[in-house]
Amino acid sequence: MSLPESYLALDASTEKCSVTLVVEGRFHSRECNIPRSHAKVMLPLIQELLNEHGMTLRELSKIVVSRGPGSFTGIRICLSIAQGLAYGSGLPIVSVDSLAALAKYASIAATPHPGLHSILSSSPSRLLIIPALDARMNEIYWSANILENNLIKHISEPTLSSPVDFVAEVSAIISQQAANTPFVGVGHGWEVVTDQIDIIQTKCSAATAFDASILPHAEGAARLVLDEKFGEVSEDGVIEPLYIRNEVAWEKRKRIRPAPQTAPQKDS
Amino acid sequence: MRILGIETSCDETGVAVYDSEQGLLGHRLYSQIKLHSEYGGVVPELASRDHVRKLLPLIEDVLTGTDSKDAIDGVAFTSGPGLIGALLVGACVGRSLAMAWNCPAIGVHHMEGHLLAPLLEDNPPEFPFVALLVSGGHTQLVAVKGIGQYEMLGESLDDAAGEAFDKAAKMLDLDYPGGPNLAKLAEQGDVTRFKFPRPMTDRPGLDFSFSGLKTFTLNTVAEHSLASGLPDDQTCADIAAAFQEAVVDTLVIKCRRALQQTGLKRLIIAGGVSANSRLREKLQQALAKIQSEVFYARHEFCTDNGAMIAFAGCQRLLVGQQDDVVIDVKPRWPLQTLSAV
Repeated sequence: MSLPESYLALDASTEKCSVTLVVEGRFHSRECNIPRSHAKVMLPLIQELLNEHGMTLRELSKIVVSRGPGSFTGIRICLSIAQGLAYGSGLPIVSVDSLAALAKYASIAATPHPGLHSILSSSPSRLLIIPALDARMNEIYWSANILENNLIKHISEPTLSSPVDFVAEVSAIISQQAANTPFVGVGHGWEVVTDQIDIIQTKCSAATAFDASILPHAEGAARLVLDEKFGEVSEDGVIEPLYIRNEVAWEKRKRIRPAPQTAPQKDS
Repeated sequence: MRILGIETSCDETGVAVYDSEQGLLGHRLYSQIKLHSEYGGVVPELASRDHVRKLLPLIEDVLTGTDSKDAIDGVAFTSGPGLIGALLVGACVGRSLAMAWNCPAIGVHHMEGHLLAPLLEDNPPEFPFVALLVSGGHTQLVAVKGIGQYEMLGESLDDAAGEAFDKAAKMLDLDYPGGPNLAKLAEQGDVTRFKFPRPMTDRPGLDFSFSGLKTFTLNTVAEHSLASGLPDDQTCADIAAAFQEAVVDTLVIKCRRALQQTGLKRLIIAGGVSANSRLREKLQQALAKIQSEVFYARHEFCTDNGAMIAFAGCQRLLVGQQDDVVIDVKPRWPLQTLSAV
């Protein structure tokens, strides 16, 4: 048996910002729920945790980050801080997606959430977890996951959908492969479709629970790396954020003269 | 003291290492011009996305190239003014690097960086001097007694001079960034054909206004436009020349006035527009007549760069100023509020 590693996990993919320090298999977390304060609070929270446990960055084995989807700015704050800390301490960065981090967190942090708690405490052999985040502009980031033997398994990758497509696709997933499986929906993406939750509930013959207040958390990311062995390792610190929304309609300029060859030709 | 400098306030990712004993050791710049030219201007979200992709590899490059990987004594990063999302990338990486290296860090005012850039050159100006900060975001005349001792003498009430250049260039359908392209076109133009106004020069004071000049340009372009929507090539060049001459004259008149008003003999010009050759030429002529001197940075340090941030940060870190681990970027940040060194 090797010694249990110590590492740090960071998440700022929503208005919640969280930091988890893993020391000898124990998870210690700090969080802040003030929107637009992530850059201000993240390093102080990290320092507080390190000091409290008498650790330095160089004693860690890696830094885990949620690379999105979620708030573009939040994701970049998180990645930039992870890059600075990791590069400066010679540590690799391990990145996971924030929806998986949310699903994992929901599976371990259900106690204060009665609906979830009653489903999880019945220890179902399989549980369908659909994390969903409000992507604004009337769209939702989501993925589908099965929890089996306490391990998360992706059954669909993170994607971006309109509310109508989201409800249709989730209903299809339940009908096709999980009609008898208890189902939980977590994350504020579910607030966008509150009036359509009954459509989903009718597809599922087992227990269902929804909780929009559970958001991605660094502890979810930290546990995914440990339990599920999720995560992409970057030794050089270069990580591509997972924005999903890449085709944003920024208006391109209209030209009169022909465009130079480096840019695509536009009509006059 | 060896300082890593990081600049990400707009559309250039700049990294440099400056040593207080040995001077500038190395610098690299990644410009996003190609990315934004399709849109005719900087798209903030795309700028932020590119910074987060490019910054760390650029830091690695500069640290390796200057043999400074284990030798950095402090980190300086631009913490304002600028695009908030872009600023955040440089500030977060820079502040976190300093925490990991256990060295001090400082957020630098972007315009102080520009203002001090001429001090990176051989034969730097001595304090006190008047500074003309002239870029796409700023047009300011500042009396500078020392680092951090800034008295605002005048500034633009509307568009910055560089912004006016970019907008006039757009009216002539020139590519982004329009300023340098307009200046290039002006070289082919007849500066006497059109007479553009010199805004706010006929009354006292050191403030600027360039929005009227912009409207004047728009009207001139419209008056001479052909079916294509643009005037013929020579007329475009003549308009560019007249526009540039009007902006340059206005800046020169106010600079001369600022020197006379303060009794100072040295002027520094900094910021993107300070690279304009016509401005440099006419300032030199005008200032020679009043026994004054003009100083500026080499071309690559007129526009945004990491070297000026490393240098400005170094001056403040040397006297013990530093930031704590709370990363606080300021999209707006008045220059006069800085503390003295």
